[in-house]
Amino acid sequence: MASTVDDSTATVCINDVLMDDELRLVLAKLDSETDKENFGLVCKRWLHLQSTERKKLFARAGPHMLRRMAARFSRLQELDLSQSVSRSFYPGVTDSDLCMIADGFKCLKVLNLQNCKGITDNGIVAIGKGISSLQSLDVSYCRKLTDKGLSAVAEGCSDLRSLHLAGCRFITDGVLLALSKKCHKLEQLGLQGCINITDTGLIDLVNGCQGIRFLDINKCSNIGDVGVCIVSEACSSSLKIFKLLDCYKIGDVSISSLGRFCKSLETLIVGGCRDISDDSIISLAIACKNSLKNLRMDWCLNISDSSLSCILTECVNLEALDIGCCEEVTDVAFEGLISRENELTLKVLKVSNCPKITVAGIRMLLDKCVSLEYLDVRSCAQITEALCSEAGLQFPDCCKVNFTGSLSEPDVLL
Amino acid sequence: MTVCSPSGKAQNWTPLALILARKSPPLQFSAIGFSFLNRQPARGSAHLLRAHFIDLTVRLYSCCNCRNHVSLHDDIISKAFQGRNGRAFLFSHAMNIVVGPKEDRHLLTGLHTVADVHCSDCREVLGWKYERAYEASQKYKEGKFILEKSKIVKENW
Repeated sequence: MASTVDDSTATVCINDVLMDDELRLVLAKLDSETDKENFGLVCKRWLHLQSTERKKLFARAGPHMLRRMAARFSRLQELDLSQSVSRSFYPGVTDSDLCMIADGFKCLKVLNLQNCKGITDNGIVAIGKGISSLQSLDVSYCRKLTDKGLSAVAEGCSDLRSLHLAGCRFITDGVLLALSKKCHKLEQLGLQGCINITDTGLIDLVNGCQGIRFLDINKCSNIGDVGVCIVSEACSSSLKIFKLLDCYKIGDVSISSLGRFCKSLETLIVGGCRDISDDSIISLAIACKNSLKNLRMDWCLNISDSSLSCILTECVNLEALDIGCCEEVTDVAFEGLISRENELTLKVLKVSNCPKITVAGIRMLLDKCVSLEYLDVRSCAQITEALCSEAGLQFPDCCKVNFTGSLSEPDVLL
Repeated sequence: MTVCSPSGKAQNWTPLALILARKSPPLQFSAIGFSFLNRQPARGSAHLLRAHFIDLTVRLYSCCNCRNHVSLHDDIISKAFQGRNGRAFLFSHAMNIVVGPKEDRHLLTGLHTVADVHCSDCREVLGWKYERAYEASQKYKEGKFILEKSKIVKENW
């Protein structure tokens, strides 16, 4: 507070008395965004304090704006420049923009460049060299990137925790080797659609990065049992989310290995892995009975009643299950539920294209499952809306049932 | 004014023509001016009001019903496909279309996830999109579009 005394003493201005730290404390106590913005209107010094306090920015900006943003928000930690999937403003984020970012935002920890289709290795190399504090980088669907750019990031950003490279189909095992050398804190790695990745790359990766919590190798069709087994052994204590959609070379060996080593596995996606059979799924269900929450094994044509009934019995925390097109499954799989005492925690169940499941099986499920939120029964000839109401089935209040149309699917199993 | 013919195919081309021609009667474009020499615009980007002369000879296909522009001839991957009622083309991209609900179907070539594709204006079913393929030999179709020849028409070429 300004202290006004008699005329012999000059009035004290708060701007002279309060130091930067104290003003920052005041700013931190302001709740609403409007108040924070008004704080910056007081004078240039307060504007500077408010600007440098800003941690996070979403932006669509060309080079001039980026330069000014870098000058004003110099302590920014999170920058989101992601573009949309289809059309974007032209030319979008370019390599020279990335060079500007590398020069200007030296404290950056999180950088989101998803769908910035115009960027190439040159820009990413600049990021790798300029921002050593980077912890999270998302360059999903930046299709022009190759090993050269991403290896430079691995080289320069040793604090990297999270790296998303979905759709960067030129990436090879070289990036994984580079990551294993420098980025030992890596926890999340997304490689969906990076079809050149092989087992050798995975083996190299987990040599150096044993703390991996999230690994997405959906559609990396060259991966086989060897790679998956090594990953499960090396990251046994940390691995929680493992996505192997359409990795059709993996089989029972991989699933058994996951069951043996990864006791904290929460999400497993093995849809399209046609060689998987009941035995390994049963051993996995028993081993991860307390941890497993989300399991997707659609298009696994060998799966039958024994593994499904085991899953429903053993996995007490299961929330989402997808067995679409597992055509051998019948109502028998649900019979184990009759004698069950406690409720199923299941929220999402997808049994589309399972022609042998009938309304009777769904009834047995609904009896023990009151928390069901989404049920997908498309292309099940014996489960139609008419047949369900004829049989008097009672779905839980908040449950959406997809008989033939496209309800928005929950993305927990994607 | 000197007129040069366009060099090479109109690849990675977008939209000024499409934006202009979208809702107005088809314009007659002739080979014009200078095509891009240095900067090929990225696929799927829209640039308006640029001072370059641009190559406007792009070959479009439209919905048979309402002439909504749905695809480029340059995006054809194969013409040797069978649709529901005859010949169909495989396109890498389609635009101004609505993708319907996903269905897992056993086609001649194996198990697939497909989704019907409708014109965004008149909802006419034009073909389908391959979302996912079971057989390794069919994986190349993922993300691509089948448009039936009987449902699309050439737009003034």
